[in-house]
Amino acid sequence: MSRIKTIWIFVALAILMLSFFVADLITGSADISPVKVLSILFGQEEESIHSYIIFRLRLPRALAALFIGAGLSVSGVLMQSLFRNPLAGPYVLGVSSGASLMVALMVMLGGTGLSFLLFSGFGLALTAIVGALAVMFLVLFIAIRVHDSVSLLIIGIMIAGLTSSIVGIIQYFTSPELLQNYIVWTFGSLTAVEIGDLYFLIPVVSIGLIWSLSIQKSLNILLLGDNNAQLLGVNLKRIRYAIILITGLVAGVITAFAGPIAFIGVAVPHLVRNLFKTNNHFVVISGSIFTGASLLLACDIISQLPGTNIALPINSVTSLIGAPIIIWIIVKNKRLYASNF
Amino acid sequence: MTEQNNILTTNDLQIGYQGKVLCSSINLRLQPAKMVALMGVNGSGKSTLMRTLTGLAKALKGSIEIEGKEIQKYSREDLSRLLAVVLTDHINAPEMTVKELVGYGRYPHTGWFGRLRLEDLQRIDEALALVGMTEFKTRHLYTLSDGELQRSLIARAIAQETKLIFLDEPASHLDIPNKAMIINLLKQLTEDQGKTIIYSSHDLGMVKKYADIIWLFDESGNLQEITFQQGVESGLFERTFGEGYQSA
Repeated sequence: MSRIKTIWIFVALAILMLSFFVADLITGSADISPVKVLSILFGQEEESIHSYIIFRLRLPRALAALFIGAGLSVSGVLMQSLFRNPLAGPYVLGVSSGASLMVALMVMLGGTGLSFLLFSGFGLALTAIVGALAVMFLVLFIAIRVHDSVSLLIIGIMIAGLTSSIVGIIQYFTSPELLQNYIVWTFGSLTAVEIGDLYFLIPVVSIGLIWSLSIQKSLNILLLGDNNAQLLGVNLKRIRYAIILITGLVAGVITAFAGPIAFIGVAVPHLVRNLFKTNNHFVVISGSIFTGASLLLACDIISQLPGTNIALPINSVTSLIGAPIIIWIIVKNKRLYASNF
Repeated sequence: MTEQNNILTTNDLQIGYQGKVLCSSINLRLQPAKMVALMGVNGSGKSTLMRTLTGLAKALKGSIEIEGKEIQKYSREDLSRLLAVVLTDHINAPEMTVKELVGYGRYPHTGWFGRLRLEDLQRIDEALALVGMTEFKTRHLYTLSDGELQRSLIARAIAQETKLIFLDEPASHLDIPNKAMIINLLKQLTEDQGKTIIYSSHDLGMVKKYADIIWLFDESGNLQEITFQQGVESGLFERTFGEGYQSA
């Protein structure tokens, strides 16, 4: 693909992302006209219930969608590159399971008098981060001992299985009322992200994105396999630790604030590689930032069910859209996939 | 020639994996611009020796020197400017083009961002021309035949501009014309560009025609440095490969 064509696709994606961002601000149960939304945004309106809705509810939600979409997609790229597996996504290392386990534990403890933590969203997020990071460090510790990526992948999936079974046991012994809190968390939610959370979420995701771009040269060489990468000068250990740290932090923090959001991380890297017809990581990572952000913003708009007063759980919408995308790409490129995976 | 002229030296080297010793007391002295065929029956240690000499596997004992400096004293990055390796590993990158693949050979010479400069693009074109793959430049890897892919991988190693090139069975699954073409190309690299080539092979006919030196894992598992003539006359080939080796 020519450089000019690549640049045009980037321009188109940036415009798309911006349009969805504005559209997401316009969408919601309260009826606020697009013109009014813009004038509120540009500070031309006095404080009102509408400006409260825009600044306190919709802007945090749209910003969360933007950064979470970008962060999950880039984490997906990193995982697919590390494991050279098209099905890998941000959660294969088990970070979301670690977060889920901690959240489930908190919900259960909520029944034993520690419920004050549950009432503070940040408290719940903090425990989820502890869970995600604990699993990340466990995987990192194992990665020091296990040298091949396939074993690491299997171990990651096993850790995820292990934590989910513990979650299952906890669920079994939890009262239905408390259980509902946990179930709601697993639906994923962008509205749960408050403006204060963004001060934490945005810097972490941004650092992850910049860090990912900084290792793109090594990621490209990793396409040739672990041995070839080493022989072309890549410090395999260093790059693997960097990938685990970035994904653990980004996916862990995202899960903590918004719950486990499915499919975006797996689908977007495929979509981007297919769009740009390249495996070059500078293009794939940058493209995934714009595409991931756009797609999650679009999912958020759909989940608001414009024109109605109800909202769907974001996780169901991302799966409804993400799964057909993967199927479509695979069917479209069946020869490509058959010969390579 | 003095010791310093050797491009590759091993001293009392012992190779193996997970504590299992495959071969001991390997003392090699290799001068530049030679074509070395690494031979032996399956499981004798060819791949392990190659992995050890390229720094992918640790030596159980002894030392390896490249240009007079111990291999552990080089960083992975420095080593990638000294030796290129063509492995049989599968490359899982459906969208990669031949030019991109060969371009990865330039990575040890590029900066932090990995951007290819004009000089790098020239080296890529030269390497592609050498292996006769210029017109395949924009093709995706999955559209190539085995022979074309192997030639592209060799072009990648050439583009890496190293003095040493290791190849793990470079012609094993190729047809006769492609096999001859590849081995001939490697020979040319030693003669025209002074590169030192070490490749593993089971093909005695090709080895006879092109290899300057043979490193042979003999029937008792020792590594012998011989010429083809010596292999035949001493009966080493017969003892290693069995009586019917000539018809193979």
